[in-house]
Amino acid sequence: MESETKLAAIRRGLLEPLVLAAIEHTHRYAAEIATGLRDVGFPVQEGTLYPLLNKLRREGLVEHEWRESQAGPPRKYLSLTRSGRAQLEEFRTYWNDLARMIDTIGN
Amino acid sequence: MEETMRLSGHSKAFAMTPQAHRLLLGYLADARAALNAEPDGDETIRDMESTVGDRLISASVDDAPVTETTMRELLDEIGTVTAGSPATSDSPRRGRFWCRIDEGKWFGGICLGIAARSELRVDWTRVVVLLLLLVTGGLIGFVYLALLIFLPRVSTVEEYERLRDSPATPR
Repeated sequence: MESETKLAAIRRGLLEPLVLAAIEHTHRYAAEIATGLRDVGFPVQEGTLYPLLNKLRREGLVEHEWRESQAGPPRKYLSLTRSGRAQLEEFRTYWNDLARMIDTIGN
Repeated sequence: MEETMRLSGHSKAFAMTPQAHRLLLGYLADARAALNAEPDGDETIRDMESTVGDRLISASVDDAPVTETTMRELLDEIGTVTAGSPATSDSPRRGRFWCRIDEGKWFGGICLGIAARSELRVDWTRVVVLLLLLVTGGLIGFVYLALLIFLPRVSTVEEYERLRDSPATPR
C-alpha cells in the first residue's frame, strides 16, 4: 500500500505529458483521449481530464477545431500547437534523463 | 413523474427522474464551485455537460427516464471535477474593481457595478444616484455618461465576483 502511494505520485505528474503525446500525431477529441489513456493502462476520469485540457489550451499548448460527428453533438478535436510540441519534446528528454539516472546511479 | 433537462451541445432534452435530476444538478454545482477560479471554468462545465449527455445516450434504454442509480454510476465514472491549475489561494487575487453589470441593469448597469464593488444594496445605490441627479440639477448625468464610456462591462454580478476572486493576471 505504501509503495502504491509513492507510485501514484509519479503517475500524477505523467498525466499531462501523456495527454500531449496522445494527440501528437492525430487530432483527437476528449473522449478519445480518455479511451486512449485507458487503453495504455492509465485510466483517468473525465472530471480530471477536461479541466486539464482547458488548462492546456489556455497555456497555448493545444488548440482545437470543431468537427461534426455522426452521432451526437459536434466535437472539439484537439491537436498540439508549436509550443505544445516543444513541451512534449522537453518532457521526453527530461524523462530519459531521469531514467538514465536511476539506471546508472548504483553502478 | 419525471424531469427533463437540456445539456450543453445536445439538441435533445434528457428525461430523468426527479432524484436523478437533483443528483446531476448537485454534481454540476460542485463542479462549478471547483472551477470557480479557472478563467475558462464555464467552458469546462459545457464540456462536462456534453460528456454527461453522451453517456446518457449510450446508457439509455428505450428513452426511459434516467434513474437515480444510473445517474449515480455514471457520475462516479466521470469522477469529481478537479481544477486543472493548482489552487490559486496563494497567488494575489485581482481584487475589487469598478465596472458596469449587464444582467439586471436599468440603464447602463453603473449602479449595479457600484453596488457590487462597494457591497451595497443596489436599490439604495439607485436612490442615492437619483437624488444626486435632482440635487445637482442633472450634472451627475454627465458623470454617468462618462462612466458609461469608460467602465468595463461585466455580464452578471456572479461574473464580477468570479473575476474579483480569480488571480490578478490570468494567463
